[in-house]
Amino acid sequence: MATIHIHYFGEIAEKTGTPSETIEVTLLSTSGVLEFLKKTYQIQGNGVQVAVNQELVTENTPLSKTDEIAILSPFAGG
Amino acid sequence: MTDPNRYIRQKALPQVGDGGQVKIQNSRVLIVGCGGLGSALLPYLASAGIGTIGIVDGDTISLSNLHRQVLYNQEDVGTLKVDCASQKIKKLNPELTVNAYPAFLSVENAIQIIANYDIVVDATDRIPARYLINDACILSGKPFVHAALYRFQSQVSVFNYKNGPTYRCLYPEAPVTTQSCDTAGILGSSVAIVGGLQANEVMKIILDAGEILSGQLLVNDFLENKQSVFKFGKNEKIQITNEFFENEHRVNVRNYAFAKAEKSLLLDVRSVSETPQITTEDYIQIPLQALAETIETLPKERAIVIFCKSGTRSREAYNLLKRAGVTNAYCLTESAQELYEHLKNE
Repeated sequence: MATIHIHYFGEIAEKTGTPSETIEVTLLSTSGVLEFLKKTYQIQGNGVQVAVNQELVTENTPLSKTDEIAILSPFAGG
Repeated sequence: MTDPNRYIRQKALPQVGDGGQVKIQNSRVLIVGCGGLGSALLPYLASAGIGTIGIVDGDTISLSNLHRQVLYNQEDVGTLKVDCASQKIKKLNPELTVNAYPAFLSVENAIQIIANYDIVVDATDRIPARYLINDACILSGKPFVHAALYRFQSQVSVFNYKNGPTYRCLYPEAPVTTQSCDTAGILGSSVAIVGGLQANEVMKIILDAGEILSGQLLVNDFLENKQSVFKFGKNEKIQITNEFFENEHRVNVRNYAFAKAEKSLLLDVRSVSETPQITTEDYIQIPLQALAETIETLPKERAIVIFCKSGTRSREAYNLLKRAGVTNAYCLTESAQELYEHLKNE
């Protein structure tokens, strides 16, 4: 197990109930983060994107403990 | 003839000058959606001297729009947004040419309308409309300035700029459901800031000045006064063809006479408090925000014909059902009010 800090926005932050938190993941990778979101909050599927150090990643990427993780999803309003 | 003093404070900027003002005058900008974002950015684009502005919106002004859609007055309630907005911005700048399109952007009209403009502004409030604009802009080779809000947070980016990353490079496919301003809530002042940011990007694109938000998503939180920029690259695997565009955005429609003859189920996706209230057999009401969780309860053996007030939410519901694999859904040609009239006359 490893811990990593993660930021949420928009409706995802509503679902997690917090704008950021330190989480425990079994795999220190972006797929480990997605697995955590699915298991803990049932957050999954299209429109959930992971950014590592302010850059979007589309493939599974290994992480280091100090990486800044943000979860992005499309907003609708205007 | 333009009074030389009109744009003097703008032309004083080294990024503008006489040459920049000519570029502004010659530019053609299309605004899709004339709600909160449209209201915020239209006065600035018009006053800056943009030559031609197109406005696309099929909606009329409601009382609940006024707190954030500050282009409109109390007396404007019930009138078409595009008509009212055109009149107001022409007063701001009589030299402006305004083209008002009193319709929602659709697969049928998008390519044709966009062809007449250099830059498209996505000022809509629904996710499916954002994908429609994206795909139409890719096919038309036009950049578009995107903005969207969720409560106190916003996302702004410029897509398809000089063949750069697009909305689908950021979010390849639409999520099953998201909330709009109608359901999530919004302050007028937040949407004003974001409309201002969009107008600013439009001006920068016209003037070829500064750093454009291409390949960058600007995320703001106005409650906490925090700002971040996320970078993303172009996904070369994503190709938008005419065939994909047609299949992805085509909406199957049916009118009331057809729905009645077929004994289709009429699905009302308005919220429970909205009027007129419909009472008829073969009718069910599921507000749009509750639809995702109730898809399983819908009948599979008969056609489902969806309706709402203006057709925007029914299209979103249609897309939601389509993405969930429902193949027997249609949008009703008529609005809730028109359906109510039909039923009353039966």
